[in-house]
Amino acid sequence: MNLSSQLESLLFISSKPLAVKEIAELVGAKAKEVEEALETLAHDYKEQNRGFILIKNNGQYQLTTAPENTELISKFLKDETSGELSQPSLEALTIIAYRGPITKLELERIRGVNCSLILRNLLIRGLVEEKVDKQKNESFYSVTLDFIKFLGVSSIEDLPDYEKLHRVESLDEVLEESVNL
Amino acid sequence: MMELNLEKFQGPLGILLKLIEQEEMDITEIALAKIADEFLAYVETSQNIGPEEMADFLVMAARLLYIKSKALLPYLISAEEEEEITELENQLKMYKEFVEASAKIAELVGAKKFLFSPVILNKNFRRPKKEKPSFVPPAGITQVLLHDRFAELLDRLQAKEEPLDEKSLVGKISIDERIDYIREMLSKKLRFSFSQFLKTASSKTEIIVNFLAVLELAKQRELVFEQDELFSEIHVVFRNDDISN
Repeated sequence: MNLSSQLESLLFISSKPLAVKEIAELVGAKAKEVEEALETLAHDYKEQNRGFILIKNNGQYQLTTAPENTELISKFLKDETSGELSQPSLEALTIIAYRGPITKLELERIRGVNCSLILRNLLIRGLVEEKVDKQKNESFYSVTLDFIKFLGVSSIEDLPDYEKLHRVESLDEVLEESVNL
Repeated sequence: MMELNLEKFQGPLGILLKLIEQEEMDITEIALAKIADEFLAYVETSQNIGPEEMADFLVMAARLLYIKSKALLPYLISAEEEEEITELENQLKMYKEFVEASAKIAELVGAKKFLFSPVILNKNFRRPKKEKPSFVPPAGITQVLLHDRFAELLDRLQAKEEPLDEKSLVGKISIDERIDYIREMLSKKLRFSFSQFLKTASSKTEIIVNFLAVLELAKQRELVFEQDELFSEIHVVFRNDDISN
């Protein structure tokens, strides 16, 4: 059986993002194999300039239309997405995208202000998701697949300067120090 | 309306960055010391700071004043305190990186390259309207499960740190008020005895406020001190520019 053909069919028929774990169970393969096959598919679609691409976020994959065709598809779907974000939302989203999963405390340390309200707004708009770490009894926030689609990139790693900002050296120091304040 | 205000709200770091950029300076201790006054002026006059955010602004104001005092009296600063200053520098530099990154993200959003995933279209080739939210209990839900989840939720809510004891500041007398009072006094009397003036205070706080107010006016050169000999009575004298030269 051809794994990548199976994956392609699953992705094609699903209107919802699929988690690697979920797919692995369905096709009876190891998660790592599935992930590798998915990455190859994503790479191939891009290389071949297909009309669809495979995007991923937080271990979830989904087929979407190619960014070159947004105008056409918007016209077809009579879509009215405006893409408006306020400066503080944009700032918070940027930090969550580059540094996620991130706690509220870390986010506030970077922005220097209380972020409860902004986080709640972003959660409601479906741009950010919350995951509770039961052991640490803490919530971690990351951007959603919807946000990725909104930006027109195939994963957060494709954001400009991702490597650099994902691991800003001074960040960990600053956060460390601030805990001792 | 309130929501809108908060959405536009810019935090203390954002204001700091703006002030430093206006001065066309790099993020350094010197720059921070230089903009301390401007920052204070902003906090004092801005209508955009809500009471909740005020705390963040005041903490920053205190840090800046501290840095400024270091610029004036460098020998009083310990190595440990030195670290605190570098920390603010680092925090600001990092914040700047993310502000710059957010501009790039804004460009991405502005390019409107939204990606669409498969949808089932209705007869008019439109995406079906979003269903009205309704509650459907997930399969396999039981009373016990609901109970456990709710207990977990309560746990999480209660696990929050215990709030600190609340104490409100007693609004007694401000330096500004005192300054006005002294000005008025000097406009009538031209000079008064410093010790007599301090005696009019009804509490320690008031003595301190009086003292600070007099010092501030001296700094602003509205008054001068006169003392005939060491440890004798100090007189506070209205400073008249015509005479003082």
